[in-house]
Amino acid sequence: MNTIGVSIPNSWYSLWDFTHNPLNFMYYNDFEGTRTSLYGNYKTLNIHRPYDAESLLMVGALFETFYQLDEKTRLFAAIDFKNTYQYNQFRSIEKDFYTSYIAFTDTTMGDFQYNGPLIDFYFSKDFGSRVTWGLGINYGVERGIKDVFTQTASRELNSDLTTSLRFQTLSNLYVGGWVRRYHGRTSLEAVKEFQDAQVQTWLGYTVRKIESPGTSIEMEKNKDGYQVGFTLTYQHETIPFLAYLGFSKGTEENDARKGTKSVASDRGYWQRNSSEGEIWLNYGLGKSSWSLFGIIKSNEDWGKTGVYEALFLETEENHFLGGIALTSRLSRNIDVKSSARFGKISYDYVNYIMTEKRSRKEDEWRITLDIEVHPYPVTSYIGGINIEKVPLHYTWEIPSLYRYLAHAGFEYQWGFNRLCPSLVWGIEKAEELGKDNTLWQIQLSVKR
Amino acid sequence: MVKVCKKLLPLIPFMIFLISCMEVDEKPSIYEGTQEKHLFVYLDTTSLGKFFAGQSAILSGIPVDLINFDYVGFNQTKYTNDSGWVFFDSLLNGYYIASVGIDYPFNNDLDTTRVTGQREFYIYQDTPIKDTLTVRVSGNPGLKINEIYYAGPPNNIFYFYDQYIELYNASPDTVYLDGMIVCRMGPCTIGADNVTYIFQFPGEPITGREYPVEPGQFVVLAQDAVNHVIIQGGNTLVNSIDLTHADWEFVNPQDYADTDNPNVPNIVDIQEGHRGDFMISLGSDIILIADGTDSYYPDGIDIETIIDVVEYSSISTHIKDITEELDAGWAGVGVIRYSGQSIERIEPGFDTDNSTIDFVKLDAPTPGYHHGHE
Repeated sequence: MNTIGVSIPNSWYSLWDFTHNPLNFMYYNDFEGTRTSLYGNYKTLNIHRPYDAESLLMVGALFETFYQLDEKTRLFAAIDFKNTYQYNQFRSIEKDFYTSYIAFTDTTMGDFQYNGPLIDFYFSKDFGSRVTWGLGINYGVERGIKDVFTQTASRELNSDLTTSLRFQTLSNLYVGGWVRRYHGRTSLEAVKEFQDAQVQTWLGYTVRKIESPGTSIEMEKNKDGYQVGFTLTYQHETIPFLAYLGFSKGTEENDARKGTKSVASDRGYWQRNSSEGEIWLNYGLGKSSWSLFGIIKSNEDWGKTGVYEALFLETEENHFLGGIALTSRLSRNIDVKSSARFGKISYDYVNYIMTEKRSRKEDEWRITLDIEVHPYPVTSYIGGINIEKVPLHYTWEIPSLYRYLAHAGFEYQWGFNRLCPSLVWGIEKAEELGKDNTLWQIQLSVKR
Repeated sequence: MVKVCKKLLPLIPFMIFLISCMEVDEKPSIYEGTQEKHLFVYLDTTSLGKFFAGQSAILSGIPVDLINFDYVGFNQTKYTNDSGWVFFDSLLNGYYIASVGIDYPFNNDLDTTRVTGQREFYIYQDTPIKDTLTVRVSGNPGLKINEIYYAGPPNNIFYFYDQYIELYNASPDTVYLDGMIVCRMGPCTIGADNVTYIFQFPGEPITGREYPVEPGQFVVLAQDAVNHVIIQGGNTLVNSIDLTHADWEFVNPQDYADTDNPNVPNIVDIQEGHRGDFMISLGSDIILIADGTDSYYPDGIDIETIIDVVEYSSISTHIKDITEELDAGWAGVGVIRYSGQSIERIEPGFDTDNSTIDFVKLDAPTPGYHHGHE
C-alpha cells in the first residue's frame, strides 16, 4: 500500500461512471514501476433489462506506471484503450439507457461498438514535513457507432479534476480536504439512410415523447459535477493502527437537448445531490492485518422538463455498507485474504408525469477468499472465489441476483519482468427468471 | 486542539469560496401533472339562425377529446355537463388539441347532424384555465381531396414515384373535373399566392361535362400510372402499389423522361419552365384543387375558385404555411418517409376545413377505396 495523497478512483475501468467515491486517498498497489496489460472480457446478458445489450465484449490494453520519484513526490499515470462491443441492443441509442433519467431510443435492435482512450494522472508532493498536496486528472474520449439501419453515432468526452490538501496537525493526526470538478458531454446522432429515424425521448423509465421524424436527428447531453470532501486520519506512531473518517458532498447537473446548439430544444434537466460518509479502521502487523469499514451514501435526485420547467421526478437512494477484511499468513509460503461485507440499499422513485411510484429495499452481501501460494522464489500462484448477493436497481424486473466468481493466475519472474496471466470465470443467477449470465475474463500483465 | 483549529482556519474561506462558485439550478416548485383546463363548448350558430331561433345552443353530454402532443399516451376524453362545460384536471404542461366530432341529435330541423370543432392551446404555468371550444355544424359537400399518398414505399433506392392523390365526390350531385387544376403550393402569405406546380384536367372549366365524378365515387390521380411493384427490375418494390388502373395520370410534356401510360388520361402541366412530374414532398407540403377558372398562376389562385386544400407535415410542431382560412390545421403528423404510410380522411368526404382532425395516418395506401371500406 502506497500513500499517494490524492483520490484514486477506480475510474480507469469506466469512462462513464461518475458515481464513484473519490474520498480514498490511499493508493492500493502491489508494485512500483510499470505494468502493461492486455485484457478481454466477455459476458452473456441473458438477464437484462429491455434496453440493455444481450452480450458484451470488451478488449483493451492498459498501461500503468507508478513511481516514488523521491522521498516526497509520487506519480501515477495510466492509459487505457479499449474496445467495447454491445450486441443486440434493443432500441437504446445510448451506451447505458438506465443511468440517466432523460434518454433517447429509436426503434431498431443492433450492435454498438465503442472505442477510445482514457487517461489517468495522479501526482502528490509533500511540502515540508506536514503538508501534502495532490492532483488527479482523468480524461477520456470515446466514440461509438450502432451499425444497423438506423446508424447512431455517439461521441463522448469526459474530464475530471481533483485536488487535495492534507495537513499533519499533530504528530499522528492528519486533516485533509479535497475538491473535485468534472464535466461530461455526449453527442448522439441518429441517421436513417433511406427513411426517417424515429427517435423518442424518455423522461424517467415509462414516459416518452416521440420526436419529429427526420433523416438525421441530433441529441446532446451535458453533465457538470462538483464535490467537496473532508478527511480525518489518525495513524498511531508505534502501533500499526490507522483510523480514517471522511465525508463528502456534491451536486451533479445533467441536461439533455434535441438538436444542435444553434437549433436546440431542451428536453430536460436533472440534478443529483449526493453525500457520503466513510469510516475505516485498519490494523496491520507483518503479513497479517484486519480492516473494518462502514460507508453511508445518499443520493437525492430531481428532474424538470425542458421547456415547461415543471418537476417531473424525484428519487431518493440510500446505501449502507459495512464489512471486514482479514489478511493472514498461514505459513511461510501461503497467504490468505478474506473479506465479508453486508449492506442495505433502498430506492424511492416518483414520476409525476404519470404519478408512478417505485420503491425497493434490498440487502446485499459479499464473501471473498483469496489464496496466494509462493512455492518457488520466481513463481506465485493466486486463486480465489467470490460469492455475493447483488441488489438490483428498481429498473430491473427482479430485486437481486447471485454472483459467483472464481479466479486463478500466477506470476512468473522472467528476467526483470514478472509475467502475470489470469483468468476469471463467473456466473450470475436469477432464480425467479431461471436464467444465467456468464462471464469470462482473461488478462495478461507484465510488470517491470 | 486550539492549535489544530487555528491551522484549519485558512481552509474555511477557501472551501466557502469553492462552494459558493457552485451555481446549480433551483428545484422547481411546480409539479408536473397538476394543471387544469376548463372548456366551454360553444356551438357557433351564426349561419344557423333559422334552426336555433329561440332555442339554446348548449351541447350537453358530448365527448371532448384532449390530445397531448408532447407525450405518448396522455390523451383524455371527458363529457360536457348540462351547462356545456367540460373539465380536465391532472394535466401535464404541454401543447394540446381539444376536439369534438360527434353526430349530435338536435331537437330541430337539423335532426342528427355532424358537429365538429377544435381548439389548440398550450398549458404552461400562467396560461388561462378557462377557455372556449367553438364547434360548428359540419358537412361541406363537394369534391374533396380524400387521400394523399406521398411517403413512398419501404425501399432503399429513394423510390417515391408511386405517389398519388385521391379525390372523392362527397356531394349528392355529379361533379365534373373538366378544366380543374391541381396545384402544389409553397408557403403562402395571402390566400393561395405561391403556386409551385399547376396541372390541369382537359376540358372547359365549370361548363365542361366530359369528365364526370358520380356521388360517392373515388378518383385516383397517379404521379405515374404504372405497376410500381415490379417497376425497378432487380429492386422489386414489393411494398409499393399497382397504379395501372388509376383514373388519371400527371404528365408533363416538358419532361421527356416522364412515364405516360397511354391507357390512362392525363392531367397536364401548364406551368412554363417546369420540367418535372407532380412530385410532392415526403415530409411537408400543400395540395390544392380549384375549379380552373383562375389558372393564371403567377399571382396565385383566387380563393373563390378553390375547391379544397390540404396541408400536411410529419412534424407536430410544424409552423403553418397557409392561413387557417384555407386549412386550419395540417395532416400527416408522424408519417415517415419511405414507410408506405398514407393520410386519408376519417370518413370519405369528412371535412371541417381542419386537416388535423379530418385526416388519419394509414399504414398502407388505399387507392380507389377508403380504409375500413375495402
